Amino acid sequence: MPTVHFTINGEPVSCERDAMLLDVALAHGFQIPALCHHDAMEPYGACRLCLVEITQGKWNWIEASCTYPVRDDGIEVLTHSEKVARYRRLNVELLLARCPESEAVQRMAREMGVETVRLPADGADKCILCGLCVRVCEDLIGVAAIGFVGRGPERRVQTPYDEPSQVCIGCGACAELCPSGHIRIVDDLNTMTRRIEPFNTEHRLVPCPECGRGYVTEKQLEFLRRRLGEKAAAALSCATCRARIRATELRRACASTTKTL
Amino acid sequence: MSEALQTRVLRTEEDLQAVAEVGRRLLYPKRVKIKVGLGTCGVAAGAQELYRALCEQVAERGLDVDVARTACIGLCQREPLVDVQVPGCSRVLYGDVSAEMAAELLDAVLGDTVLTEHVIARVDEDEDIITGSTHRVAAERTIEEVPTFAEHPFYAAQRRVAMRNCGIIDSDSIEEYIARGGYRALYKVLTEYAPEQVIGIVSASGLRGRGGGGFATGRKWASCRKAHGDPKYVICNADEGDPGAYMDRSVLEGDPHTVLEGLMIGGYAIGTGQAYVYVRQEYPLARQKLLQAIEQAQQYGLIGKDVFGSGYDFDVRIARGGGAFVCGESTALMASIEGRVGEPRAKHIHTVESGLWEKPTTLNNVETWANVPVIVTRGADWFASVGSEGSKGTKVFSLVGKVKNTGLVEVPMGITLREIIYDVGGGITDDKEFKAVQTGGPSGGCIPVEHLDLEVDFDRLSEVGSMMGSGGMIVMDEDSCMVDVARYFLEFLADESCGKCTPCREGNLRMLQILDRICKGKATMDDLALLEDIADVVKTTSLCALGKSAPNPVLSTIRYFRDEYEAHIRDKRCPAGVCRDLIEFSIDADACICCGRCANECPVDCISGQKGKPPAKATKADREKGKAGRPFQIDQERCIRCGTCFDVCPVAAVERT
Repeated sequence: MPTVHFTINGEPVSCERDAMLLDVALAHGFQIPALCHHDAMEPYGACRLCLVEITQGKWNWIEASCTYPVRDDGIEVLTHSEKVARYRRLNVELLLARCPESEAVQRMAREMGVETVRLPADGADKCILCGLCVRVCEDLIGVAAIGFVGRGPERRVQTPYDEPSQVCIGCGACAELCPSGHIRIVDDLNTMTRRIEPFNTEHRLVPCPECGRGYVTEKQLEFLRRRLGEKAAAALSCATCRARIRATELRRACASTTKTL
Repeated sequence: MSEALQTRVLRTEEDLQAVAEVGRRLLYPKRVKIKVGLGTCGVAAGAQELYRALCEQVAERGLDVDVARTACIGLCQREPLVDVQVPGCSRVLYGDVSAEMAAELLDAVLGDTVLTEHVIARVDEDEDIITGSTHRVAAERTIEEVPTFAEHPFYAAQRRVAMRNCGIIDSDSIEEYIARGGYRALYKVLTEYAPEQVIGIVSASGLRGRGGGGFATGRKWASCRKAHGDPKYVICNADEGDPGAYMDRSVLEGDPHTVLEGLMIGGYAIGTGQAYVYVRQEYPLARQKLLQAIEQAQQYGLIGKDVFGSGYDFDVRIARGGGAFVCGESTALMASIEGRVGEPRAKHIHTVESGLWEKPTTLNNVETWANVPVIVTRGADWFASVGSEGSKGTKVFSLVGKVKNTGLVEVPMGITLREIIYDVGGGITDDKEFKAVQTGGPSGGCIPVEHLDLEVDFDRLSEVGSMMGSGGMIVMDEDSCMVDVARYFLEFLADESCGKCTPCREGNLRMLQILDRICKGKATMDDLALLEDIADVVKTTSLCALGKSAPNPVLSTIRYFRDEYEAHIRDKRCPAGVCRDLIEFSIDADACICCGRCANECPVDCISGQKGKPPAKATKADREKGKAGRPFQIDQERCIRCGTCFDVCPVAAVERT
């Protein structure tokens, strides 16, 4: 891959041709806010907060850096120009009106200096529709238990027909990635159940053979066995116990090495 | 017709000529031929019933008359349209012909007279655009009392290239298409030209995409040819979603083979034989015509393996769209064909490099493809001789709204808005004042009277804050409230936004809410500033062209009609008298003639009074006999401000304030 040389905020930067601008900027230590971006997933371009200002010859424009492949030498990128700040603020204002309760959006608005929201804060929930949950479930887990339904302002994330999902394995990756706090894993260790809110799917938890704590859902364990075969053995105890077992093994190994010395 | 059904695979120019001969006999039979315009527009106006009535009459009377079908003839205002051809005589176009008139029409035709009240224009000569030749229809006699098409204001300024066969041929007949030069361009391309030469011709013609963007077609094809990937695809975008626009539908219904021929030529040029036509579900007739055309072309070996013995294989499939407006956007359209949700993606990697199934793909719309065969046979120079500096050829517009002649018009690029509206369109309905024309579909802009002399082409339209789009043209008169107009289009766009990116999903909704407040007289000047801010962020930061152009109706109306916005906000007044919350109807007691029509028509019964002689005219005797009336009054509490009383009052006693 040929290398492209350009500048970010005046500093010379280089990267492989067609690398995404946001990845390059972050790797070089520049701060760019983003809500729909995740390293493990394909760029999506939904939140429009990772905006930058690009100048190339006589052209100057605003661009979402997450989906912009760097192709040309000599482009000048500004991550915090006045223009960039204005458009980021406006998009955050729109998001804040949609989900006034979301702490992540509130924090971002504070950082960008959005003091008053001129729009009615009438959104019903915390979901900013970044699509991370939908994409992780379909693209990485390979399950597609949730998806987008509705169009335009009616768009929302939902299980098919809003019924409890038949295919959800209760892994919680959606909640893990949700930046707005809309999706939550609620484990009840007394009844050994897990609920993924707000998708109203319920799962039975399996106790860890070491400590007895519920740590994985039945369906997830089944899924891991099917997917990983023998390697699934690695997931047969909870993360804490796995760490403890590994640590014990390591200590033993170290002790025996010291002895031989 | 039996002759036409004996199809065989066409190999040579002579084969094509033989089919053309069959087609010519169908087009110009040695007996009277009556063609009914059976496009969707005609059918909606009752053309199907008329067609049936004519067939019945002919059968009953045992007449030697062909009753035939054709598609949209253009002047949709006068549907159902009928075209009458007596051998050797001028062909005459009639409008507003109802099914009840079938007998009368036949009598007139057989009696060698014309129905003067329904006559529109006559044709003495059919031009064959593909070959540049003409066919003399009125070989023996011209009907002088009927004006020619060139003399009819609606048709005079028109130049039909993409729609050259619409309303002339029966789109069910491939033979008629071939008789008018069809598939000659394909033959020429496959037997004489290298793919690069075809791209060269299209590039030199200056053809730009008719679907909205106006991208140079030749350049698109060249990039796609150069791109690596196998197979490649050519796609015809027939997802015409603009409200009030139907040019693509009419071309598909009226001349489906030209689109197929265009696709084949494009496919050959970029190096593929795999094509798709993406037609929206709402166009059942267009889809049916297309399917039939494909079947016919297959029977003649024009679609399939080794077309014209050239070694070129071609296959085409139809993909049906569910009707989402956003699926007209190239990446969303391709996602939809692939079976995914129709949502756009960022297009920094162009679809000519990575499109359908991540393969190099050329997407053009119906009208663009329809121009291709003509460019090939007549040459780039011929095509480029029509049009303006930066936009060559003609453009089809659906001219609708407050003009006298509504319909599909195909005019040379560079014609002025004034010519389209006042000459072709015949001026404003009821001779009211022109206020604005909205071009480019819902996300176009509103162009005011000071730009009436603007030359219509891709570049000039964007300079004034509008766009060519796919060719919608909605004319508005003094009775249109521009804030209400902006609100109408934004309502459509907010609903049609796919919802993927923040500015388009949230911004359009918020703009709509603000416009709602303005129309209700509940907005402040701060709201106007906020509206402009949101329009700016939606335009600048949206992901796809839908979002980037969605604020156009708002921005252009603020730009040209700011005073109307301010009147709504500051004075709580709607100057055009449209916004219901800002108007009031009242009856001038002195002018009221006590006829009671307003009260009769009022849908909510909120008008009361006494029918009789108006008090000023009533004599004492009248009063004593109870014949005196009492002027009518409107109960403002219950009035829904529909304006019916205002419209029906015979003496204009109802006032709108």
